Amino acid sequence: MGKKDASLFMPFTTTTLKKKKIAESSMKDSKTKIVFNQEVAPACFRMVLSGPFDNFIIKSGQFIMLRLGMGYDPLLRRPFAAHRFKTTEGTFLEIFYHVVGYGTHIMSQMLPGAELALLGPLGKGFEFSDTLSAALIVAGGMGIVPLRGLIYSLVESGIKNIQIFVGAKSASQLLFLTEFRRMDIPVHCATEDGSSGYNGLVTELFRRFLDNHAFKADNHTMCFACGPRPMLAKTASLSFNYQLPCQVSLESRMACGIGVCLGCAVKLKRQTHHDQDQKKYGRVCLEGPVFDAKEIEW
Amino acid sequence: MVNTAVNIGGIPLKNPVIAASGTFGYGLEFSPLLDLNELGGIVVKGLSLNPYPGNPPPRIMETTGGMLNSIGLQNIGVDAFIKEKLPLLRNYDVAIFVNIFGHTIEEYVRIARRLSETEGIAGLEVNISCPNIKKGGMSFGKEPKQAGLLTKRIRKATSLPLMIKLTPQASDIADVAKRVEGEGADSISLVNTFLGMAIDVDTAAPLLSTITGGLSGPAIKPIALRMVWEVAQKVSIPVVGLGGIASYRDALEFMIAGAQAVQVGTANFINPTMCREIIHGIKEYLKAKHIDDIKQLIGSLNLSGHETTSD
Repeated sequence: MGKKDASLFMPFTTTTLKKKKIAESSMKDSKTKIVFNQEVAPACFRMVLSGPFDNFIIKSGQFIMLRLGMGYDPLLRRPFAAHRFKTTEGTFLEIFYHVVGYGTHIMSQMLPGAELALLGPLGKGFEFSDTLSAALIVAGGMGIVPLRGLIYSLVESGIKNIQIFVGAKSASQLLFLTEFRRMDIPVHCATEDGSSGYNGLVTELFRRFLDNHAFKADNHTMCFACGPRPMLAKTASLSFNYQLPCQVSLESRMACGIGVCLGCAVKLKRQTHHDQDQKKYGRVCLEGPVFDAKEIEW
Repeated sequence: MVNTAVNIGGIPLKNPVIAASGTFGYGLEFSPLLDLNELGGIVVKGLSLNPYPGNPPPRIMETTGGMLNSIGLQNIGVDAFIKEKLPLLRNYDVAIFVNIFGHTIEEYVRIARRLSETEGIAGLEVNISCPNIKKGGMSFGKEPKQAGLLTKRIRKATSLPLMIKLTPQASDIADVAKRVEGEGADSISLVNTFLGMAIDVDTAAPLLSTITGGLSGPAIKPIALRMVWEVAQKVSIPVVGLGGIASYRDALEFMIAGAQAVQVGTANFINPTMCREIIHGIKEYLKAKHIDDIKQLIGSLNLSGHETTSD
C-alpha cells in the first residue's frame, strides 16, 4: 500500500458544505477513475473516485449513477450515495457499497486505475434550516452512508444536539462508529445478534429512547432516517406518534437516475385532484431519494 | 460533407437517429446533458387523454443484457403536455413525435384531434404495442384487423403524419404492417418490447408487480433486426427500426436491413449521450466508406452467396 492509498483511507474530512446556501451543481456525465476499492467491513466496500470534482457540489442525500464498465452486462448504471472530500492530493468522491448481487460483485473486483462513467449529482438531498435545534438520526445497515454526510453538514452548521441510532445484523457491520464518537456525538447501537449495544432492532431502540422522555423534542427537532423499507416505515410511524417531522431517504431499482424511465416510482399518499381520488407515484431519483415521511404511502 | 438527412413519411429529419418513447421523457430532461438540436427526432413519452398514474412498483428489473419494465404508461396527460412541455420543445430544431395511446379507439381519436390543433408537432407515433396496460395498447397491435381499424379511424381524425409502433408479440408482424399501411399510416416503427418475466428464487415471487413486463435492451436486438428486415421488404412506407440499439454499428445494421431511420431507447439510460455518439459514429462510418448520402445505405443488405430459408 503506497502513501497515496494510506492518505485516502484517512477518515473523511469534509470541506464541502458550508452553513450558507451553496448552489447545487448541475448534473454532468463525466469520466472518473477508481483510486481505492477495498473491503472495510464484511462484504462492505469503500470506493474512492478521482475526477474533476473541484466544482462538483453534492449535498448529503443526493446520489450519483455509476456505469460498471463499458459493456452491456451489467447493463444499467447503479445509484450510490456519494461524499466529496479533499486531501492534499486533490478532491475525491467516496462511496460505500454492500456486495449483495451481481453488479456489486463485479464492482468489488475492480482495481484502482479503472475508469467509470459517472452521472451526477442527482436527486434531492436532506434539508434542514438554521433553526434546527436537534437532529435524530436513525440508520439501518448501509443506510448510515448517506446519513453520515448529513451528520457532517449538521455539525458544520453548528447543530449541537445530534443523536445517532444505528442498527446492523452484527457488530462488525456497524460503520463509522469511531468517527462519530471522535466528534462527541452520542451513538446508540443495536445489533440483531446482540454482539454490540442493544440486542434487537434499531427502531425498537429508537422507540425506547423517545418513550423514555430523557430527550425533549421541540418544534425544531427533526428525524432523518435511511435503511430497509420496514425499518423506515417503523421510524416514520414513531415520528408521527411523537409529532416529529421526519425525512427518509429511499432506495429503489433505477434505470436512468434523471426522471425519465419512471422505473423507480414509489407510492405516495393519495391525493384529491379535481374531485377524484388519484393514485400517485413519486420518482425516487427526482422527487427523492429524500422524502418527507408524510408523503409516502407506507 | 456527407448527407444524413432522411424523410420519414413526410417528416424531414436532419439525421436518422430518433430518441425512443419512454426512454427520453419529454425531451427536456436531457437538455443539460445533450444539445437536443443535434438529434434527428425525439419521440416523447406516451400520452393519454387524461393523466395516468402507471403501475405499482417494482416496475423494472435488469436481466442479462436487457431490462424488463412495467411502467404502465405513467404520463401527465395530453393537455399538460401541450401547456407545459410543448412550448419549451418548440425552441429546438428537432422533429417532435408524440407517442399516443388509449384504452379505446375513441380515446386515440380524441388525443389525435387534440394534438392536431397545436403547433410544433412533426407527427404522431401511435402506440399499439405497449404490453403493460390491461386494456388497449398491445391488444390493438396483435391483430391485423384491429390495427387496421384503429389506423383508419385516427387517419380520419388528423392530418399529422402517422407512425404506427408495432409489437413483436403479433403472430405475423408483417401482416400488421401491411394492414396499417393500407389504412393510411405514413410510416411504421418496430419493435416495441417483448413480453418477459423474472422470478426471485429466494421468495419464489415475480420481480415485477405486474408479473410480466416488456423486455428491451441489447438482449432483443437480433430478433428486432430480423423483424425489421422482414417488414421492410413487405411495405413501401418508411420503416423505423428499434430494439436494443446501443452503438452506431447497431444502428447501421438496422439501416442496412431496410430501416430508413432508427430509434434509440434503453441505451439512453446507460449513456445519456448515446444518440449523439451514434450520430457521430454514423457520419464517420459514411466518410470512411466514401458514401456521400446515407440513403445509399438503406436496404443495402448484401445477400450474394446467401440463401434465405423463408420461402
